[in-house]
Amino acid sequence: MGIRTKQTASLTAGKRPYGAKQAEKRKLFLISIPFILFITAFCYVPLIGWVISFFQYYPGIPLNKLEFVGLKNFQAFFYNKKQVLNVVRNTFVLSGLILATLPLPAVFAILLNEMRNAKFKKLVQTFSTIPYFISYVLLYLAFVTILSPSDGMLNILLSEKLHLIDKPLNVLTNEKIAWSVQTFTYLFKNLGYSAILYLSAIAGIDPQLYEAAEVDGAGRWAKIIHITVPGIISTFVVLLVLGLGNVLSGAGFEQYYVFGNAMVLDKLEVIDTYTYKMGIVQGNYSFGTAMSMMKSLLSVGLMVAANSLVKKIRGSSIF
Amino acid sequence: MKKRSLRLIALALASVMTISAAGCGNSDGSSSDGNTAGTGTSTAGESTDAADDEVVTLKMFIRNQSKYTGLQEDPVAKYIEEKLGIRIELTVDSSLGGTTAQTSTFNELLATKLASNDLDDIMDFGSPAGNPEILNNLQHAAEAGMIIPLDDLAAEYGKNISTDPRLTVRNDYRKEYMYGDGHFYSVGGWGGMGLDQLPGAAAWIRWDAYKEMGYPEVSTDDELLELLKEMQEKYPETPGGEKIYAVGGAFADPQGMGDGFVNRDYPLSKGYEPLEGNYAVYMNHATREVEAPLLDKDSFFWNGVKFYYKANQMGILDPGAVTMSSSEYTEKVNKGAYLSSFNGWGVMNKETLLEGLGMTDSGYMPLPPFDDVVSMPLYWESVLGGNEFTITKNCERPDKAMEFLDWCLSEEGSRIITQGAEGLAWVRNENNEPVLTDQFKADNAEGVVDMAEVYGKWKYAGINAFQHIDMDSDGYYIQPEQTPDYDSYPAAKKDALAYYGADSFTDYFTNLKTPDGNDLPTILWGSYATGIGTKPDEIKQQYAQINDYMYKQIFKMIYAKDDAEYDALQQEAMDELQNMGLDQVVEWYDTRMKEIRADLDGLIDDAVKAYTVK
Repeated sequence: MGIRTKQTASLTAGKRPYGAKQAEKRKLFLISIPFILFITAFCYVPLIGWVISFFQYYPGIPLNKLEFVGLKNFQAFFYNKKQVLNVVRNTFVLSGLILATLPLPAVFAILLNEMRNAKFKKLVQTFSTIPYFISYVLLYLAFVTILSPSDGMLNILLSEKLHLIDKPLNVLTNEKIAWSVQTFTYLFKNLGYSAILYLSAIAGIDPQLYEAAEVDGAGRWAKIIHITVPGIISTFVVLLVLGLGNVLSGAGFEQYYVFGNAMVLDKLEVIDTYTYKMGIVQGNYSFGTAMSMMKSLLSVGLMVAANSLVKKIRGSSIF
Repeated sequence: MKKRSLRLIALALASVMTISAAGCGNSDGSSSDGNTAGTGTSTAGESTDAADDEVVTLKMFIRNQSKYTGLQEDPVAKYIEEKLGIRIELTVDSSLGGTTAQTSTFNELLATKLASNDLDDIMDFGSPAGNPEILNNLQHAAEAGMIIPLDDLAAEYGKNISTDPRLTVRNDYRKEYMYGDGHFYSVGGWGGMGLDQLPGAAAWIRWDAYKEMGYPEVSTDDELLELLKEMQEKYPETPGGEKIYAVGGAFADPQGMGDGFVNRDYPLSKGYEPLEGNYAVYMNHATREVEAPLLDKDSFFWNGVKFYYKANQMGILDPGAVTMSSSEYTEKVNKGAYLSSFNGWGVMNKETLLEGLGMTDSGYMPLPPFDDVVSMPLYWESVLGGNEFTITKNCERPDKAMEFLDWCLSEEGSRIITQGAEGLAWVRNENNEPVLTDQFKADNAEGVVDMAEVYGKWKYAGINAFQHIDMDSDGYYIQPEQTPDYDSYPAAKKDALAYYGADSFTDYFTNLKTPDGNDLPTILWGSYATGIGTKPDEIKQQYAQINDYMYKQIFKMIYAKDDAEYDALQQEAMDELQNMGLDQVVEWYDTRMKEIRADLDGLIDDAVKAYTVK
């Protein structure tokens, strides 16, 4: 049984005059100006501040009066090798776990798409998307309310109501499951929202492909494998490349900072939280900037490498 | 038509975004805060050419208890406006006010303001004793010309600052030791030699429960733990159904706060205080010398860790402590959910609150000191001043700023700032003694009235010269509220006083003896830590590494499953610490403290004499 993949609809737009094309380009350019300005102002202009990583910086003192220290602040990153290695390990493990779960939103989106009951489908989609809009601070409070060893709902239920456990469960303070808990937390917050991208990609698949497949006798599973999955693979690749570029951030600063406590810090201290601690909390701005700069450059390198790899394998890429 | 509309929309959007982006870079110092407390429009800049009797507005970045930023309208602010012609415009509110976490955020915001040169007229840099970076910030701000020298201004507009010997010694210290160029760029607020009637750091317990158990004698940590276990069994929950634990904690707070229960509160209850928050070095308040407890298994520090470990093993440490923040902990304290604390400030004066929860005659009081207590903190020595207040180069009326600071640093200013407006919060009686008004007492007891906004009580506390527990020149408390009123003592206080067998708490706690019969020291030396200052990068890295490691290790030890695991973790820590450069850190602090003592002992001892100390 063959699946027809030939695009049946064809674009038949006629040629437009040169002036109209130019006007269209001008319009697009005008629309993009605010965003270019925004990105320039908030993403590129601050990069000028990287210069302080080469100086012994103190707020308020002009750059020409600061002591030039060359790469000393970069070397300081390796001063505490054991701790830094721990931080790097945590960063890669947590990011790796997130990357490993990258297919889950796609699977979730496919399952949602296959639901017959439209109302239930919308309900599931809404409930799974809501956590994305809850801040990590509130999410943490919700988790504590449920999981607190002293008066968390789960422990009260299991110990006092059902008498299933003698000692309270320490989910948020158990070092052994810290990585898993954080991966679950990340998924809980992001799964629904990430699925939206795939749902839109699925919506963009030509319905005639499914109709043609049905004519050829394809069942639900065959349609998923041969039409839906190929239809969303490019979205997956884009997210994978972006995810690889983001591998030094993991789920981001907020999650690990908020969920980090003394008992699990050995497993949750990542480059971002370490930079914050060393740079902002301890007032060592130059060192903090040097660390951030290194991280940014490495991230760009990783993303370029991932993009090239994908280009070699698939023949297409983001840039 | 449609195309034209789209173009217009795109252009409008572009303009809005451009203006927004440009607006974010505005640093002209003009007030942009939502002004919810007042409608004044005069600014320092506008009033430059105004006559002296015109009101000048000064923007202030100071810790406060105001609910609003912007112009202030409380009775104290009004009094200052009438007396000095100065309106207070705050750029931060109480959300960055009192707690350790808020102070940390305040310091981060201060660093940001310094980095962006966005300085208000008067800036509060905080206390160098609690944060080694503050002295660096001050010195570099002075070097960069961001804050101005105050010598000439004080001579002309600061009568108190330039003549009161309790304040001139603070200026001299700043000239000679802090800035070293013969000028002082900051004035020291919140100083003196305050006397607490009760020791804030001690073994505080629920006194009503202790009384019901027949006042069993307790002189060691183990005896305390046993007593607490019995108390917890006897009082399993509050009348409101809240489960009671003997010992609590807010260990989920970040390093420097969450671990404070173990590395600050417990040691301080024994007479030791971490220097600059370090695990490696403590100040022994009995000897004024540096102690390094980490390599001694039987030191006060490890005893503190062991106390919490044992509490956990005995099931009397709240299992939720490890995931709780300080606000959640305070909430539970206010529900009467704990039976003890080494931090007396957190549990004292809860009698009315507990009464409201159905816990009649309840309250927390300190047990007499155990045998291992070397010093009991009653006198708060801060004769060189605690918080650093500066006038910045952006201030267009430094004369008025100095007048304001001078008033804050007077006895009158200190009293009004800590207690509230005269005539409203307090009056002078026939003996010229400052006493609280009946209305103030009623409102204060009721706990409904916003005392900061209605009376101005404690709203700007920190910028005053003297602590609320200091005595004025006539021998009265700076804050009249501190004057003991034995008749109105709640039951727990009255009972404790009877148990102590003394006429007053001060009488009892300042006359205690050590086990070998000497007077128990009672002074908490605060000035020495302010002078530690900049240290070599290597030492900074080493102590940061030690603190980071210990922060995690102590909680692993507290929650160790048995003695064997506890001992192994302790040994591991002691071995690891030596590899982290503990010896170098201790040596550096020891040497530095000897230098500081050589410089400051005489200065501090002389300054202390200006206050009444037993």
